Amino acid sequence: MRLLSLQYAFYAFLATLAILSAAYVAFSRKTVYAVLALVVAMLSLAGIFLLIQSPFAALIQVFVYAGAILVLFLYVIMLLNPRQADVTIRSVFENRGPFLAAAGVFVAGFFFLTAKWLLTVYTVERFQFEEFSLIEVASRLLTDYLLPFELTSILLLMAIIGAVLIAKRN
Amino acid sequence: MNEFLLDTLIIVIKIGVVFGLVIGSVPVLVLAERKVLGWMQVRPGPNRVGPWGLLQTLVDGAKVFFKENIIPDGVEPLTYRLAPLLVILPVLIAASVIPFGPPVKIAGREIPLAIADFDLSLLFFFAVATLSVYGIVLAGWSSNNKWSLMGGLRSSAQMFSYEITLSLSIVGILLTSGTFRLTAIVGQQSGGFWHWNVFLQPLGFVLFLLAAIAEVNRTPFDLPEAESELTGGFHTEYSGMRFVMFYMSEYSSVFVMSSLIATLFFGGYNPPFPYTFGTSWFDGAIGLFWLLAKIGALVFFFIWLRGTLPRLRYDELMMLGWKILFPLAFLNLIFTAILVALNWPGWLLGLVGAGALVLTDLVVSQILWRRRRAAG
Repeated sequence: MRLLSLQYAFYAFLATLAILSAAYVAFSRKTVYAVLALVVAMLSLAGIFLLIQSPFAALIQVFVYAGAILVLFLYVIMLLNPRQADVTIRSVFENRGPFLAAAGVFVAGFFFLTAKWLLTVYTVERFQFEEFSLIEVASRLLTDYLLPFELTSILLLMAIIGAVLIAKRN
Repeated sequence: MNEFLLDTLIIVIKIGVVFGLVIGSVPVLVLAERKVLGWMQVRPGPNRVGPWGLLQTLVDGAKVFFKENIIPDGVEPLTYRLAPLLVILPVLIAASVIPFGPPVKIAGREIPLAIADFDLSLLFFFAVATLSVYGIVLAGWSSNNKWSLMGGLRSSAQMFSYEITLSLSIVGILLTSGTFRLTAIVGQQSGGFWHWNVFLQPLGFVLFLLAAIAEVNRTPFDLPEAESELTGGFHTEYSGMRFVMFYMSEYSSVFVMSSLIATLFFGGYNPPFPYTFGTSWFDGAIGLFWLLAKIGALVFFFIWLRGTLPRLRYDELMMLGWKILFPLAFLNLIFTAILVALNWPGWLLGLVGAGALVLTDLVVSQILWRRRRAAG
C-alpha cells in the first residue's frame, strides 16, 4: 500500500516536471535552455512510461528523442547562434519565482490527488502486460499493428529521401 | 516493510561499490596509460613519486584539487557549470547494468552482481550512453570560444555517426542470443572460451570495437581534442576540478566500454575454461577477477593503439564511419538474420563472419590504396 502511494508521488513529480519544463520551452528567453528543458520533459515522460510498466517505450523515448532528435535541435540552434535573438524576446518567467513555485505546487498536488484515477483509467491498456516481455511487444508489433508499423517505415523513408533532395538542391 | 528496506540497502551498497570501482579505475588507467606509453616509446614514464612512480596520479589529483577555479569571462554560467556533470553522469549510470560477477547468495538471499538486472539492460546502456553527447556539446558552446565550439560540434558529429554502427553491430549478438538481458548473454557464453560471442560474430566484434573506440574518443579517433588544430577541443576553457571531471569521464568511459565489450564478446565474468559457478562469495570474486582481467587486456589494447596509430583526418573519419562501417554493420545484420533463420550451427556462423571480415579487409584496403595512389 505504501509502495503504491510512493508510485503516485513519483508520478506526480514526473508529470509536474514534464508540464513545467514544457511550459519553459514555450516561454523561455534563451533557445538553448529551451532545448534543454525539452530534454527534461522527454526524460520525465520516459519516467512515466516506466511507471505504467512499459520499459521498452521508456527506453526508446530516451534513445530516440532525448538521445538523437534533441541533440540535432541543439546542434542547429547553436550553429544559428541565437544569442542576439535572445535579447528581443522577453520571458514570462522573469522575476516570477513565487508564481512559478505556486504553479508547481498546484500542478503537483493535482497530479498526486488524481494519480490513481489517471493511471488506471487513462492508460493504453492494450500495451500493458502482466509482466513486461520484449517478445510480446515484438510479436504484437508484427501481427496486430503490422500495417501502422510498415506505414511508419514508408513515412520515414519518404522523409529521408525528401531531406536528401532538399540538401542536394542547395 | 523490512524486506523493502533491506532491498534498498542492498541496492545502495551495490551502487556504492560500482561507483567506487568505475571512479577508482580512473587513476589506475591514467597511470597505466603513462607507464605503457612510456615503455612503448622507450622512455621511463613517471618514476619519481612513490615506488616506480605509482603515486603519480594521486599527487596530480591532489594538485588539481587545490587549483583555483577559473571561469572565463563571457561563458554561459549555468551550462558551463553543468556540462562536466552531464558528461560523467551517463557513464556512471550506464555502468549499472554491467554484471560484475555471477549471482551470489548472502544470508539466504540471491543477489545479482549488477545494480540493475532486467530484460532490457543492453538497450538501457545505449539509451543512457547517448546522453553524454549533451555535456560535450554544451561545454563547447558555453565556453564562448570558437575552438571549443568546433571541438564540441566535431565530437557530437563523430558520436552520432559511430553510434549507428555501434548499435547495429550488436544486433547480430541479439539475434544469436535472443535476449537484451546482459546477464543472460553472459550466461550463454559459459563453458570455455570457444563459446564466446567473438567467435560467433567476428565481423560484428571488429565493427563494435572500432565504433566503441570512436565513441570514447580514443586515438585514432580523438579528433574532438586534436590539440594541433583545436588547442584543446571542447574543454579548452576548463581548468581545475571541472577539467578533471572531463578527464575522469574519458577514462571511466574507457573502463565501462571495455567492460561492455568483455561482457558482450568475451564471456563477461566467465573464465576461459569450463567452470560452473556456485553461489558463494568466492565464486563471485572469481567472476570479478576474470572480468577485470579482460577489461585490463582491452584497456592495454586501447593504449597500444594510441602508441601505434596516428590520428585520422576528419573527412577520413566520416568516410570510414558512413561508407565502410555502417554498410558492413548492416550486411552483418542481414546475413546473421538469414543464417539464424536457417538454423545454421554457431561455428558455421563464425566461419562466415570471419570470411566476410577477411574479404572486406582486402576490398577496403584495395580501395583505399587505389584512391591514395590516384591522389598522388
